[in-house]
Amino acid sequence: MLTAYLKSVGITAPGIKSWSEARTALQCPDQYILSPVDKKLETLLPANEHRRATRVTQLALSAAQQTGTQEELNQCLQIFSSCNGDLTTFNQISLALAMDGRPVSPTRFHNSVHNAPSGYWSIATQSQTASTSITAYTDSLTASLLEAIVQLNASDNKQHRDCLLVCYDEVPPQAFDSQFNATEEFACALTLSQNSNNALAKLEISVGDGSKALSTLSSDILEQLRLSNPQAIILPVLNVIANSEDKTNLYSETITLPYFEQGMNIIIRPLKHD
Amino acid sequence: MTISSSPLILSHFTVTTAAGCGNQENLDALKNGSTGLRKNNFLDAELDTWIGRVEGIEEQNLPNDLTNYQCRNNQLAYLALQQDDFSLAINNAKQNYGAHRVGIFLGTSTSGILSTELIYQTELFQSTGILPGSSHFREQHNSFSVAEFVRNLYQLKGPAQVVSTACSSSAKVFASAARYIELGLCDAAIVGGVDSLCLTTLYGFNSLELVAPDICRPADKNRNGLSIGEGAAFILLEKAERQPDQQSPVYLRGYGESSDAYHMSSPHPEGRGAFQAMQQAIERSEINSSDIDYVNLHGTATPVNDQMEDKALAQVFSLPVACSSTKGWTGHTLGAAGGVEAIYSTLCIQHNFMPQSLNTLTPDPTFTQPILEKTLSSSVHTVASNSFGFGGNNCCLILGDNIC
Repeated sequence: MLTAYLKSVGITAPGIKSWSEARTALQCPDQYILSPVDKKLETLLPANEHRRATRVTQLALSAAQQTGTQEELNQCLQIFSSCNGDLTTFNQISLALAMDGRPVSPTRFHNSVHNAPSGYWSIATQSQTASTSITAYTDSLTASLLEAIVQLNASDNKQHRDCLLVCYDEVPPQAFDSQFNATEEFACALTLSQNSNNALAKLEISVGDGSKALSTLSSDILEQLRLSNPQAIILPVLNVIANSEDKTNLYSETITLPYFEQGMNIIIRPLKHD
Repeated sequence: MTISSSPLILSHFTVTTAAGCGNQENLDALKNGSTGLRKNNFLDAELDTWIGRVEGIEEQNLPNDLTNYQCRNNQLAYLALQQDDFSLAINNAKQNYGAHRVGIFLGTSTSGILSTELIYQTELFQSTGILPGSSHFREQHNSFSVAEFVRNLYQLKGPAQVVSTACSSSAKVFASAARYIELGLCDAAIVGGVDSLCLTTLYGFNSLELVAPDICRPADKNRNGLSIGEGAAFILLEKAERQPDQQSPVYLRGYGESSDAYHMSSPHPEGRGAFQAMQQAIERSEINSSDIDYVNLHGTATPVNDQMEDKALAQVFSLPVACSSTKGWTGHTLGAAGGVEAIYSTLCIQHNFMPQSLNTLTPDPTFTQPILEKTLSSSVHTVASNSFGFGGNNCCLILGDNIC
């Protein structure tokens, strides 16, 4: 069992622009409207970098920057996670490669790397802290959550008490319709810490034995959202926290998310501070 | 929870590059100074450049139940896995520790995207604009493909992930795996990287004017860019105490990871991120910079990379340190470079030599560190291996034959 404290949540999702809006949607699903993510996303990138950054980078950064001040985030270990990376950019490059002279754009090429959002984030925040970008296909969210908590708990980490985890996936271009089904954009950022000060919840994570059913949501519309993007599988975790306001500090709930054959069990203990 | 931090050993490894298939061929090439690079003859890519193309990839047929994974990247992985009894080592680890206790941490930058690139060139795709249902995106294109292939090939059930941070990918996997083993999430880990030639990287690096028309000449005063290569490196990482009879043991002494926070495709000119990664790796290894006998440079042969790397070295090493890049043999194997060069560093330690900077005619006179112009026979105990990637993502590994 590995533990970490969840300090803050950033989220850019259909009809949701912040943790506050996510909490409302999770508390009152009847009022939630699943409308596509805004075409225009704000990021803390300088204007020229914002223009060069692709949609998937803007999506990731829009969630990441909600989780704290630049000063707080600058010292965080960083983990970026995506199932598919930037297929939109891949599609543009591959179309160019099918043309005469193969005119690949240099900016598109550097945007095509899986760690593009991580690179842009480090530029935006001027953070020189270690940053990794991982994938484990549709288990990317849980694999990266495990990676984040492992980094926080490992003895090699003497300096950093906080870790920023950013999970995002785009809607792939139409060319991929037969290959991958993600109907909505979704990005979620969590700051995780060894420190319980002002934490939203304590998380206790373990790899399962495959015996537990995967967690779902009881609301149809939220369940539709959960299934719309590989990163949206985080929603049952956020749901426990959003709906814990009338619970005591003794309350806990276990969520099981997909992680290979075994599943990942997450015991969530929401915390109160007053 | 108790944390047991025990030294990790590279108990088995295998490397396949343009310079050779398996450890012995690579070792011979390193010692003989015979490059694996050749004039570009990859598909219909009409680029005036040299490439590090691995022989025999196209002839690899994946096992019957895994034919959906058949793509250049997984064929290269499969070719490599059949060398040096590495499959036997994996199966032994599986038997000793259990399928759930063997993790997989691999790096790649472009996975098997070549398969999809080639579909885009077909008339069928150009008329429909949709990939056919038979495209095997998950098994070939997705960046996790190679880890899933290895997982399925050996029926492993442990933690798995692909790190894709461009050219530092398969160095960073050592750090991930070390932490997972320390925290008891697995007992052994298959680490390494696989990257294979594709049109995106050839034409992409060309668009950035980073590809040399000539063979790559790392650290040369007239260097003018990289030769793109492909390669596969696999290492079984486990606790040294579990392999007490290991011959010529080489340990993962430390690693350092940093970000430049400067530019997406150009390193910080003073090498600030490279410096941090090396400094951190040295601290974590609990050694002094003077304990390092040899640095296997990132050394891509682009003007900017090699210069900033030298500047970073000058900040880390108060006394000059012997340096060379081995990309003159392999080309830049991108996401596989960290793993390939970790194995080359291990071979240097085990076979007591430091390779020359192959293809370098005149070392850049502005450099502060001595570039090896000839291969030296000399005892080598501790090596630092650098890997720096797009997005300003840096990693330095330190390998050594002693623990303290």
